[in-house]
Amino acid sequence: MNAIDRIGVKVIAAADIPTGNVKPLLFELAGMLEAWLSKGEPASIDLRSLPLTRGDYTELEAALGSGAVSASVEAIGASEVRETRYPGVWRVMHRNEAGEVVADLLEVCGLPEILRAPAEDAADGLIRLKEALQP
Amino acid sequence: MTTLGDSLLASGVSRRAFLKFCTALTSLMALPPGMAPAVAQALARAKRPSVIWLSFQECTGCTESLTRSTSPTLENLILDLVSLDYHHTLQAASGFAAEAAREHAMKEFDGKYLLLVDGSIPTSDGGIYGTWGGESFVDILQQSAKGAAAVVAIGSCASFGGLPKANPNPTGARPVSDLVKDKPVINVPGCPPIAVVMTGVLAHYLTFGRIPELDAQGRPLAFYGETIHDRCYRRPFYDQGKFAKTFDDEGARSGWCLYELGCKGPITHNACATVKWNAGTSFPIQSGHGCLGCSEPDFWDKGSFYKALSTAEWGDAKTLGVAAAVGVAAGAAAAYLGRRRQDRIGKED
Amino acid sequence: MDLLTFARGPGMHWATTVFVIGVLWRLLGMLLLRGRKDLSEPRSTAAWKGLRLIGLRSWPRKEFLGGTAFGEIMGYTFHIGFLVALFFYLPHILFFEDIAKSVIGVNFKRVFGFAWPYLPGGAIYFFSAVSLAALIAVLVHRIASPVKRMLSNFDDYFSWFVTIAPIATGMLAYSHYGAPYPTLLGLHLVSVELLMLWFPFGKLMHAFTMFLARGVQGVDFERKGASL
Repeated sequence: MNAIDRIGVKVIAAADIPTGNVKPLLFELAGMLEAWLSKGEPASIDLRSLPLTRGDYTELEAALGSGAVSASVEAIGASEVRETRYPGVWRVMHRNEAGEVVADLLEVCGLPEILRAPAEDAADGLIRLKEALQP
Repeated sequence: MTTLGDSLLASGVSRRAFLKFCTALTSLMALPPGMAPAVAQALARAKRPSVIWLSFQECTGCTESLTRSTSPTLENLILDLVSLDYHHTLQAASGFAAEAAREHAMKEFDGKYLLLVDGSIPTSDGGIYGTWGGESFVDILQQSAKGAAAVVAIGSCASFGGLPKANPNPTGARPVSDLVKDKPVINVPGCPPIAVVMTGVLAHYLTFGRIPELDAQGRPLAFYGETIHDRCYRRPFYDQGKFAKTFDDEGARSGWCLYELGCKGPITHNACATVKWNAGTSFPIQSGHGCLGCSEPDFWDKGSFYKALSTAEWGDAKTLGVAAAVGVAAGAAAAYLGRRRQDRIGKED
Repeated sequence: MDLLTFARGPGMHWATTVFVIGVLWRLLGMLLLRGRKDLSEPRSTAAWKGLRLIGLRSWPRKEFLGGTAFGEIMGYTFHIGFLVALFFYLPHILFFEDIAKSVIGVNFKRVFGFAWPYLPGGAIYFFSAVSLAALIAVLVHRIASPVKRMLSNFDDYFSWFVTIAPIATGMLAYSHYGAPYPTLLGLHLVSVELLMLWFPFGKLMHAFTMFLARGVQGVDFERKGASL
């Protein structure tokens, strides 16, 4: 056995410790959901702007669970949209072509914007459809 | 100059993909996610600027950090969105052809191009310690800055002088802000700076056409507003008094605070603890090494990286020894004078 | 040069130097003076036993407690709180260890087998708060009492100020309150340097002279046969 293999390595547990930041986050989501229901104001939280450890993410995912809708979008990389067990609260994770996460959001709205077909793209599509229909 | 929106559409990016890009960009710039539509609107209308990158007294680490990713990523799209008209490491041209390209860009986009600088500028002895094409870095910087809309000092060398400026600074190295006084200068320090911080700052300028909010040291508040200590995941250990005493001891392996091993996190402003390095993989403290304080001015000259922050430069044993000798001498002299007075008073009795 | 760099560099360097020179000058200037010749017959052969007075004077005789109890209790509260905060907080311990290792050559752990203990930051904060409250109480008492107010001079007030400043700035730095942390830390260090600069020249020298004075008096009493 190499000398290097004899060096004992302990996996750092600190990064997996939940910091207790999930509870306030859930309270904020409740407030945002209330605002959307009463005033129609959508809102979102950028998860990467918060100091969350791996343990926090596990706790958050367990708390939010999954709901009725899941969708995947292919646009310069894969994006995943999943409704949580609370309708109106969505987890939207954007990845680039290399599979790296470029945005991880919690959106409170009727439908995340990424799922809607933009008018510009539809207009482009109409041109292509008409071309395909030509004899 | 064509708009950025046009450039993206021309490269076959759908509107949906563009909106996804803007969402990622908003997150990159540390703006609230609700601003993504505003970013999209601004970016669609923004002009594709010319960017001139000047490399002076540097180790190329900043360029390495920025260009680490070889696969097309959203961060790299930033570089595609700008017209990088001059960059020693990345450009194909060299010699007179390269210099001609730079001068052409500066003339065509006079008053509008963005000047990126990495490396410090040597000023001693007429600036002869850094030249290319027969011109000193001092002259090149001052001429190039004249027509620039803004200057971004990339890395600690350009922002604060960095390693070349460290004691005894034989070349008279100085930061960009010392030499460029009449243009807005954004400092993006770090040795090297985090890749996404560099692109985030560029993205902010490209999107909004103005420099982001800066702190007292000219650093963008969005990324340098907090200290490493404020966001460090090992903070609970600091608060509980659990410190690693040596590298690889039990405390170190359990991920305890690295204060005693010299971590300068409490006085260092940067985004390492949240944004981290290599797409959020890790940062020095997570890997078990204390923060060096590399985004602060003159961090090379602030004492050992391995002595705790609270240990100050109190001198050395020799100085204290000399002080003790002086004190003893002063005390003896005072006592001598006192004794003479005592004798005199005694005689008067 | 910014505040913190100054405080951790030339500020600390000069404050330590002046402190060492000043304390040695004051102490030797006292100790090397001629003692008053006592020509009487010594009542005790072991006058050194009078050094017990150093410990005995730690609490007043009950006859005097009426007037002195407040001062004694506040004094102990402040000193215990202050000394715990100073010597049992890890960043402070590292500071002293660094100096001791340079001057003496070995560290505590190597000599005694165990490392100097320390308390968590929150506990230190509590002890600091208690000592701060005690300092404010004694100042109020000093100003409110007409006799004490009349007797008080610049030394009294300034020594009080250079003592409370490090404690207050230390608490502010720990709680990151009021200014960016590097500024707070710089202020804390500068206040400690001010304390070190003033120390040899005012009544703060009681830290050394108190033991000397009690010791000399105790030996004197023992020699004379007076009760301690």
